[in-house]
Amino acid sequence: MASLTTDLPRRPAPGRFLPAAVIAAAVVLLAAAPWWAGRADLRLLMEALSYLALAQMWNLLAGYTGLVSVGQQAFVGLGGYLFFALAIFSGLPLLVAMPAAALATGLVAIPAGWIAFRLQGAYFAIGTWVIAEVFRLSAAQFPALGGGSGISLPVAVARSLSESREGREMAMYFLALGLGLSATFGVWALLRARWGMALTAIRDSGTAAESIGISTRRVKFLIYVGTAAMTGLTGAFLFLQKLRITPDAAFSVNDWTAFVIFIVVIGGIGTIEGPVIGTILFFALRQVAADWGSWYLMLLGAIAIAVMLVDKRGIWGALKARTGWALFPVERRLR
Amino acid sequence: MTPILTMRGVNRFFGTFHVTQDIDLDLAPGEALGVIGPNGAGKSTLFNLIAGTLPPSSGTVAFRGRDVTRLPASERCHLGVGRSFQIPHPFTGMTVYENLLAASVFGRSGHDVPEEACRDILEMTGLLKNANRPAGSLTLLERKRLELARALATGPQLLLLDEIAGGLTEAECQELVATISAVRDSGVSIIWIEHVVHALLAIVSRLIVIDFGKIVAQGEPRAVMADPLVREIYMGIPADEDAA
Ligand SMILES: Nc1ncnc2c1ncn2[C@@H]1O[C@H](COP(=O)(O)OP(=O)(O)OP(=O)(O)O)[C@@H](O)[C@H]1O
Ligand SMILES: [Mg+2]
Repeated sequence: MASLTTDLPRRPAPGRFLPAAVIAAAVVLLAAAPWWAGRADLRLLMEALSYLALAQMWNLLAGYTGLVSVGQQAFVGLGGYLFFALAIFSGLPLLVAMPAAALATGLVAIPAGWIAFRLQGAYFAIGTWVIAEVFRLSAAQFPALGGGSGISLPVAVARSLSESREGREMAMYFLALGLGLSATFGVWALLRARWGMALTAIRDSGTAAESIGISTRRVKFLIYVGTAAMTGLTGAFLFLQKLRITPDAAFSVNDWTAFVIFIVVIGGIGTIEGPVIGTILFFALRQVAADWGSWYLMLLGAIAIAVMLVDKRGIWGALKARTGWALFPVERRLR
Repeated sequence: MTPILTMRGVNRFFGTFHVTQDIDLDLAPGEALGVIGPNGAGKSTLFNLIAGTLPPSSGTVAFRGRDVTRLPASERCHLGVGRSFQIPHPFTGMTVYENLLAASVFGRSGHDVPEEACRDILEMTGLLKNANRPAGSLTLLERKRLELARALATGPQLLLLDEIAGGLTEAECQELVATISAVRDSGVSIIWIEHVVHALLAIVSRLIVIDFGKIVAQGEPRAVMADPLVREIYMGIPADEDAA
């Protein structure tokens, strides 16, 4: 058999330098944002980074394990509410209360998943939405948390992050950056790890994955619980930033699931780059068209339909199929 | 010697359609069994029942003396059942090598160095030169080879092969037969569903014929092929395949 190095790749081995340089430049640019961006831009970036985290989680869940949830708002809201409850009543420091809220969200996802996993396909999707609605209705039942009209985070709690407003904004920004980056790089690390091959295998064929010894049910459950915890952490952050939480805002299917699905689908489902591209596009669109009212939502819908019709793989999926590009390569090569 | 595989009274319905009917089957360790039968007879369904891809409607399946009827496919794979799919199911977004590596890692193959084991299997199945290609770029014939290679990478004790010789040239078919006989000679039990009868007869020591979900004939391969009933069932099969 001919030597591997001479006749192996059909196309040249993908360069590793350029993607690494692009990623490094983006990270440096984002990390320096407080010094080059104005306050409004910084707020926009913060929101975009939170959405990036939500999109990476939804993509991991739906794009890799095929669990199409339309109820991720359950975990955004739960993370937010648990965080408010912990911050207000337990006196835990902010930076402890947030991960604690995430952990608790993950724990709640275990019984929630136990119920949702009884359902398949479209029924699973509906089931997740019903679970989120139950959470929303339940959240209104706690007078201590403001019932149906919600509750504000005491000023003292927010102050604990920093005394000055500039300091708080800076701290918030870096929290958002940490969320967006750790979701993205976390998914990348997961897919590069040996165990991560199971996710790609399930994405490509659940039946074959099962036949080579991958317990698809177990993997899916772990991902469901893991993404719930990270989604809960993002929820905690989102409502720390808003300083006020209500059941309707916390468990909004539009804000925390529909827009997120839009981002992933247009960017490219089942890729790490897709949620990044989708987030950029979504926020660019919103900047341009947000004042169009319901026309804006119709525009989003039209774009999503166009992407589905032209190429279901989304922008990055289509690009990748044509060019072989990978910003976040996960491939293992036989040498 | 306890059989490696035992099926007792296995039935499978799709709705009211009785696809697998009262199958009793024993396979000795190291045995190579051939399966033939017309299209839609229920051969692939039988594999799905053995591998755990489908649960039976009734009856039991035991593997290496252990009742596996309720075990999912992943656990049966861990115990040593490796299978190929008639319609290839490659992991299209992974490279060919990664397809095997995943099988070796998750299939509890027992390979000390999965990378090396996968390289050997790629070489053996003629896929080495395609190792770093995306599996999605393979042709149908290459995909069928990948089915065999990936099943082997799980480190099976029972290998289930579903029509992997169709469409090959005579030379390729010879190569495939050589590969499979090497696997058989290493002690792996094999069940091979194949319409290319002469390839099958080069490997198997027993043949069963399935028609309408039932085992209608079985025994020494050449005797089975000479059976008038089998000739009748196989009337529709081209003469060159029947000739062997
Ligand atoms: N999942 C399923 N749902 C419903 N019907 C099925 C299913 N799988 C198989 N069948 C039906 O069961 C019958 C047997 O199918 P099977 O694939 O086992 O046949 P086969 O002997 O492998 O045929 P072939 O030689 O064409 O591969 C066919 O009529 C098929 O349509
Ligand atoms: Mg078949």
